[in-house]
Amino acid sequence: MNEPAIFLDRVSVNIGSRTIIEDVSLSIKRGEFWGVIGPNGGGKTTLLRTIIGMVKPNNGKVEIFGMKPQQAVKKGLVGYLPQHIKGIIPLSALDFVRTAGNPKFAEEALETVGLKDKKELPFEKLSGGEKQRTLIAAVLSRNPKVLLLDEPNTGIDVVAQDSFYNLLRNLKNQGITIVMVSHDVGVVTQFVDKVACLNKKLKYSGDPRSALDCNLLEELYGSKVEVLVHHPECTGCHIYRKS
Amino acid sequence: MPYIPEIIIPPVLCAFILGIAISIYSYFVVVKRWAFLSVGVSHAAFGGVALGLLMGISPQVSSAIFAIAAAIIISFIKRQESLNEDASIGVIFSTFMAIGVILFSMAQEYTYNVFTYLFGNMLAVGWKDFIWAALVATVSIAFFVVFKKELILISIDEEFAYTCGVPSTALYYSLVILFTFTVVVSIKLLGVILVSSLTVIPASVGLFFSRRLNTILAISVVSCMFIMAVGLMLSFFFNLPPGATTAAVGGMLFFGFLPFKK
Ligand SMILES: Nc1ncnc2c1ncn2[C@@H]1O[C@H](COP(=O)(O)OP(=O)(O)O)[C@@H](O)[C@H]1O
Ligand SMILES: [Mg+2]
Repeated sequence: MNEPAIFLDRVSVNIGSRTIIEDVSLSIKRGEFWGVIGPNGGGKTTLLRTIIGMVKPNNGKVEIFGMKPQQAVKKGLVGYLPQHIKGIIPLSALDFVRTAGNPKFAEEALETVGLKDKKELPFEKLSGGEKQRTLIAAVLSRNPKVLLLDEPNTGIDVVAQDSFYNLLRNLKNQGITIVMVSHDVGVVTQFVDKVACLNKKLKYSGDPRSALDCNLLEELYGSKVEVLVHHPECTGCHIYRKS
Repeated sequence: MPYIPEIIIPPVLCAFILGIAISIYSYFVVVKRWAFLSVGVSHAAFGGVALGLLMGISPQVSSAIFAIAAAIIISFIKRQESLNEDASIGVIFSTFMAIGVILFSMAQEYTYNVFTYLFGNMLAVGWKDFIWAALVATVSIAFFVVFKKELILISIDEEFAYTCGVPSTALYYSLVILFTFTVVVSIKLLGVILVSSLTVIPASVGLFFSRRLNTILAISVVSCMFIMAVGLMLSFFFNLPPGATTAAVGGMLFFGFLPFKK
């Protein structure tokens, strides 16, 4: 019972002849909320795909609750929200959650994400943020123990983001382990317990406040950056690149 | 009641029964961008037909083997997400097709058959072909019904489907193989060159008008029936290859509805 929720031991991933992830080790404890940041193409999506077992590491090993990823997925322990859904979803929000999730908890899950009123609408007619929440509802209705989210906050406005982070915090308080990829460094570091900075190699992992250190960000993003933390109420905190 | 010659009954029945299966596959062809797959397998089947005729075995069987080999190679490459997938797929089906042309020209007494397999021939379709068509269509439709939920998820996103507990890879290849069988069985009627148009047009028309699965499928089936009916009628009365007439009718339907796309 004491093994970590997610455990990566010296994981490397090559695609073709390119090394996408190199020698990454991470131990994510149960109930922790992790943020993964890094530049575009830094391997964040690949890291999540490796954790769920879609990508096989060329070196090292991945475990979820001490199991092989495929096994954990089969047991329904893993919820995954991809960065992009490839096809169209030709169903109403509710029918989609029933199809992709657990039909018994479909209505409840839509209520949790605040979409009870819109459940009969065709998925494709929903706004970007509503689509994202419907997808999350489908994932949540399966009651996963580990939740992997790939840039779930793109296309969601600031107000919706706040309620989104509240939702994630509630899930965390229920003991769900969350790993969220984001490009919005400032915002993420305000909400998570731990942060991992990835640019092919793991540049940093640990306390989010130290991740805002400009030297680290500079190393991570490869150019001079400065973080501006705005007033807490406007959830703003952005990276500006200095040329 | 006009006189209906008995010889057109099997091709017409084949067209309708295959049409139902094809119009449902058509949804996957369009949303999963499988047009390359249907072109690939039909061209590969042509090589198999030639080999079968040369070796004196059933062209249905040999073309199915060729087509399934091509389908598995093509979808394997596609799923690798490797670079240059288009190029490799183009090379695969042109190679299979080339083998077919070479084999056909080595056996000159069969050149008559080439036209049948290239563009289809209603009069070549008999009751035996109807039995194959009925078998393939029934298995396909049973597959859709039993795995409806899983197939919808695969059409949305295979990776997401996998994390929803769907055995994505096994179902993906089952779908590809059943689709390939359906294309192979349709070749005598519609020909290798143009059969792929019928795997693209019906669901495209459905997607012009709707984003609801049941509506899309209904429009797809109706379009396919219409294309088959008009296409075969033109083929029969004007003595034209049915592959060409159905593809032309399908094209007109597609472009006719395109301006009304929602
Ligand atoms: N299936 C793939 N085929 C080829 N290259 C890929 C594939 N997936 C990812 N890559 C490459 O790996 C690198 C990391 O990609 P990704 O993990 O998506 O980064 P991020 O999510 O951090 O933006 C990129 O350079 C990308 O081009
Ligand atoms: Mg990404």
